[in-house]
Amino acid sequence: MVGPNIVDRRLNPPDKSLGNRRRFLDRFRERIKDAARKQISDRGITDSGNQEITIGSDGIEEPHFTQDPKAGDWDYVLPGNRDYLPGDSIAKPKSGSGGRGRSGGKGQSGEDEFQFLLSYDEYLDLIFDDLMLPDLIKKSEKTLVQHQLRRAGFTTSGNPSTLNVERTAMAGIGRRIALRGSRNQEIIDLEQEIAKCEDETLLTELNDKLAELLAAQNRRISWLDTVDLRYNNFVPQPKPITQAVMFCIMDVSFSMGEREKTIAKKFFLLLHLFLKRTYKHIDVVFVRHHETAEECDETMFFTSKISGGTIVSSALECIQKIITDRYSTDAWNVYCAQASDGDNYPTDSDVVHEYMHQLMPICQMWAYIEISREQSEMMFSYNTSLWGTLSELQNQYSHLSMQQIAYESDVINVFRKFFARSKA
Amino acid sequence: MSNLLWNNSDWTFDDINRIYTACEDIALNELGLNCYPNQIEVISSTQMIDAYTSVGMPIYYNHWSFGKQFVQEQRSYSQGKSGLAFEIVINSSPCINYIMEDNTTTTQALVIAHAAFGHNHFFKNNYLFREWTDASGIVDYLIFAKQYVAECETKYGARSVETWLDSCHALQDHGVNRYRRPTKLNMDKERQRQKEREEYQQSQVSELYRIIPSNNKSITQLTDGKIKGFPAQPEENLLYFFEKYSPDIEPWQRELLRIVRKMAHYFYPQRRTKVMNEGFASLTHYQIMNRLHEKGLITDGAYLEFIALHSSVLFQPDFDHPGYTGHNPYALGFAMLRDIQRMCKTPTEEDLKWFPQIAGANSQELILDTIANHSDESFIRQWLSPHVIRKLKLFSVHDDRSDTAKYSVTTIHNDAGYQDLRHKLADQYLTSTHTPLLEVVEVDRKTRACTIRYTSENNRQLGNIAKMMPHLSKLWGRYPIKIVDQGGDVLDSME
Repeated sequence: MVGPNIVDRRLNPPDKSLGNRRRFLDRFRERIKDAARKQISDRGITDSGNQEITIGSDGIEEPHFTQDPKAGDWDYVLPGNRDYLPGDSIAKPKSGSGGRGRSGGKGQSGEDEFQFLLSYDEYLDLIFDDLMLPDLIKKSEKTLVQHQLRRAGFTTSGNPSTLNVERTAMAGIGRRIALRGSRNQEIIDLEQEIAKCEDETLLTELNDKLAELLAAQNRRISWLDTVDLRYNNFVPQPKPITQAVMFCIMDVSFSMGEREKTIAKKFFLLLHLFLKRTYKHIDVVFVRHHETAEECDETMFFTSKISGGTIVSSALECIQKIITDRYSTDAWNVYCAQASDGDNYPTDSDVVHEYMHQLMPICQMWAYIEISREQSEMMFSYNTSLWGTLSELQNQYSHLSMQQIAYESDVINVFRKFFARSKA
Repeated sequence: MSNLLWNNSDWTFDDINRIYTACEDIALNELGLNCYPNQIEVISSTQMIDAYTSVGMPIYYNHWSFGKQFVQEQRSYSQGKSGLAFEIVINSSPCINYIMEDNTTTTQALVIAHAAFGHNHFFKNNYLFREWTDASGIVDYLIFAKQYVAECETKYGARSVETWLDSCHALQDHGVNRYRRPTKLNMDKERQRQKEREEYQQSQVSELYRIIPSNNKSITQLTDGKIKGFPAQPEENLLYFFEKYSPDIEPWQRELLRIVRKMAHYFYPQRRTKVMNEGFASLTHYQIMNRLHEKGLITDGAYLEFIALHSSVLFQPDFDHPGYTGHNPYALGFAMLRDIQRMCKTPTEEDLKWFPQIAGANSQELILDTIANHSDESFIRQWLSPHVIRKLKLFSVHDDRSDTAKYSVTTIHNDAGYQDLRHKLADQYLTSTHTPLLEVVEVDRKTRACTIRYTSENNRQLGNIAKMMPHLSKLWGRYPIKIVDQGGDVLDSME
């Protein structure tokens, strides 16, 4: 008996449906995108699991001709009769169509919604779609050249580790054929003689002679010669790399309440995710400040609770120092994002100006978000001290952009305003 | 050493091999089954979702709707709202059985008995499958279809191919000639003929709409505005009709119509034999697992596990149970086939009165003959016995949808009701119960207007018209199209 043909398919690439999935996501891209962005406001984006997305089922169902369930005479045969007799009547449920029929009260809920899962990456893709960091290439292309080795054929000299065995062997074959010339007549004669020979002792003798001749020939023409050697050739190719450093500056002073901090953190969280997934070569530096400023790591930045007064210039000073120490401006693009409630010591304004005049020329972009009071946008325009200070600079520096956020749900919109791909 | 086929609930490939061989022995030598060669493929749960969101086939053309199913299934599976099938079996030769890696050894045995022998025998022997499908050609045809669709996407744009397929899919229930045997599928022939067909069809279409009349007779008819008699017979296969006669659509669009139609053909027997197919596969696994136990090849524990599994698959909730979603085809089919066994063994007076043919019959032979020569509808009409009706406590309810207050009970499981219940349940498995009958009855050669007639039964009405009209119009090359009822009243039309 022949056994079955058993195939283990588990090792096949698992994403057979990927193409179909992509087609589905593409088709409803706009709606899924909207849904995904709305969901940022009511759930965290740090948990990197699958995200459940709900969109309206409109346009998603695939219609077929059906018998209209609201009309006509239908007969069903049902299982599980209890005590009905012919002629009995059963009350129909008040609302809903099928009642106890085939459609039997199932799937009533969620008829107008379509729910499914997006992977974390797909989810972030949708959130950050159309966004980019402006002017990233500008400086690095001009000044920063990194070399990358690229294959460029073969060469006759090189490092033993780059020896190309196949090419070397091929060169050897060619050389051997060329050097041997026409076959040695002596060898040919001998071979013919061996073929005809019937005497045992003579045959051994002839064979020995042939072996000797062949060995001599091989001695004359070496199997491999230095001229055969071929090496893989690599040439350095200049490759512009996009190298950037992003400063995230957050005010953690007393005046920043829980609400303000939450909004600021959410903004930076988005920013951080955006940067991490968009650019490979980017350094993110977190700076928090109250009266004094300090560089801190990601976790401390997002979780720490400190209070005190606010001196913005302390952060600017800190940044300047870091730039001078670690990020020479001809090698790095510098981006700054700053979040604050706008409070600052009035006397600090001039100092801020002074630092900003030094920082702005070396920055590609400065994004300032101000977390305003919930009502302020609607009531009257109320300029905080820092907003005032910075807006005086706006005429001078077009790459200083400022936005206000009042509600947590606005974070994503404001974020998009900063980084919207310019429609050039 | 014991004879046990396995003694661990984590299976190994050796276990599978032994199980298969033992099942095969019983299936072929004791049950007399006749199967295609089997190919057993072990897959992971993700691959299982992959598989049944590409309509269960090993390969299928790409379309967004399969992606939609995938994201949905994935959600309900990952949230624990639904489990996955233990297996998928494909009507092909060799017969491909997908079994899931998560299954326990007992489940694998059940699945092999069920699919690799039960379904496999059914595919090879049932008359509908034999006439409608070509098991050895299907995989090749799917490869052809996938490649062709991909080619079209490159040539004519993914978007236009996608929307065209949407329209084709919308009519996939109307892609079979129920009363005519289809031609067999074959990839080489398909590919070879596809090119010729493109050119030929295009010429045929223009022939049909030629305005210059070829003889005097048609001139007089033209002055009436219409030529009677095209199509000569009403055509219920809408996909076929559009493929052949739709004016002004591209050759590739015709070919896609054909692909969707061919797939509708292939799946048609499955739709018509759900109860028998699942019933027979369940009976087969039941017989095989029992024999394995009798032969001492499986432990009592494994047998109990099988019984638990078997009864959960065959669970039939009552009509008022929250989980009721209609008749469970496994349960109904299994109950009926088991009853044939019972009647052959110990017929009662009632049985002999209803089924004189069972007298002295060999039950396995009778069952194999039955499943070879019936569809669900005829199977129920002929073999639903009073015993099964009583066991399932079947009763029938009349629902006049215009009456919002009540249903009325018409017949129940008693002497007066058996015949009626049998016919009503059989009617439930008629294709026309689910798919409205639509036929192309007329095409006006002058205006190219197409008329489709809906035939209503039992005062039913055609649903979903508004959503379907754009698809119809698209398939008819944007020429006027309308749907009329039997009285000729226009239900909907599109210029």
